[in-house]
Amino acid sequence: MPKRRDAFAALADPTRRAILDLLRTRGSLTAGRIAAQFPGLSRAAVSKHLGVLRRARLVRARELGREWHYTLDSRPLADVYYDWLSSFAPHWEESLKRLKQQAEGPEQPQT
Amino acid sequence: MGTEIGRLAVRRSILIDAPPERVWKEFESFERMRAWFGTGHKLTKYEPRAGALVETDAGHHGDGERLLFAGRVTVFEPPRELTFESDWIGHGWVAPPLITLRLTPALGGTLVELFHHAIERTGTRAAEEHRGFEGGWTNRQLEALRQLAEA
Repeated sequence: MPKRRDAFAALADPTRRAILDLLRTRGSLTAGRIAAQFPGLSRAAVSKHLGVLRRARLVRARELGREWHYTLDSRPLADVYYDWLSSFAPHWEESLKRLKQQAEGPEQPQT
Repeated sequence: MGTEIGRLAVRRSILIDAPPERVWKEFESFERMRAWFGTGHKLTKYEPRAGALVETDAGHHGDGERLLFAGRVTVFEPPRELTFESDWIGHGWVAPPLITLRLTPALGGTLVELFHHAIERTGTRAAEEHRGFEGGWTNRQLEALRQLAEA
């Protein structure tokens, strides 16, 4: 069972979130195909990010022929969401309700 | 004058404390260009002239996979603009997007803008390609350029 803090650490980096987005929309990709989409990063840097995502169990890697194929594993994201993020939902809903009341309330007099 | 930026574009920019003529020196040979533009994908071919072939390699060493982007320099205009095509070889794009580096005097220095643009020309999956590259470009190359030009 991966520790939740691994998922948080993995998600803290924008490049790693971009890799997850890529896998979410495209399914399975080789490490090279992922690297191709990151002109700002060396291949070594992309490999390092993929390693962090693997250790956090956010991606799965399979070796097919000479290439590693990566797919998204969203289960740790569900843990992050249900075990922690969702507990804040009542607060969002409360602030949205207040915003709505303000927007629909009587017009403020013009100064 | 100057390449029109295509609609599906990724833009990164940096303000460099040096005049455009100084910044442009870092565009004037393969070795100099590789030292900053090649800090992400490796720069494997470049010559400082219109019509020259530019090639970058996203693959490596080890797993045998080479992933090449290549195309010709379409605009070489010191010290204002460098534009080249960047076709992902073997990826089946209808037409290649462009990479434009634009230098503009600003605030006593040079505003350098990097555009990866005209991604709409790649074909039916252009929106997906655009999303991918929008997440994929960092400021790493421009930061490396700044350090060289301000040294």
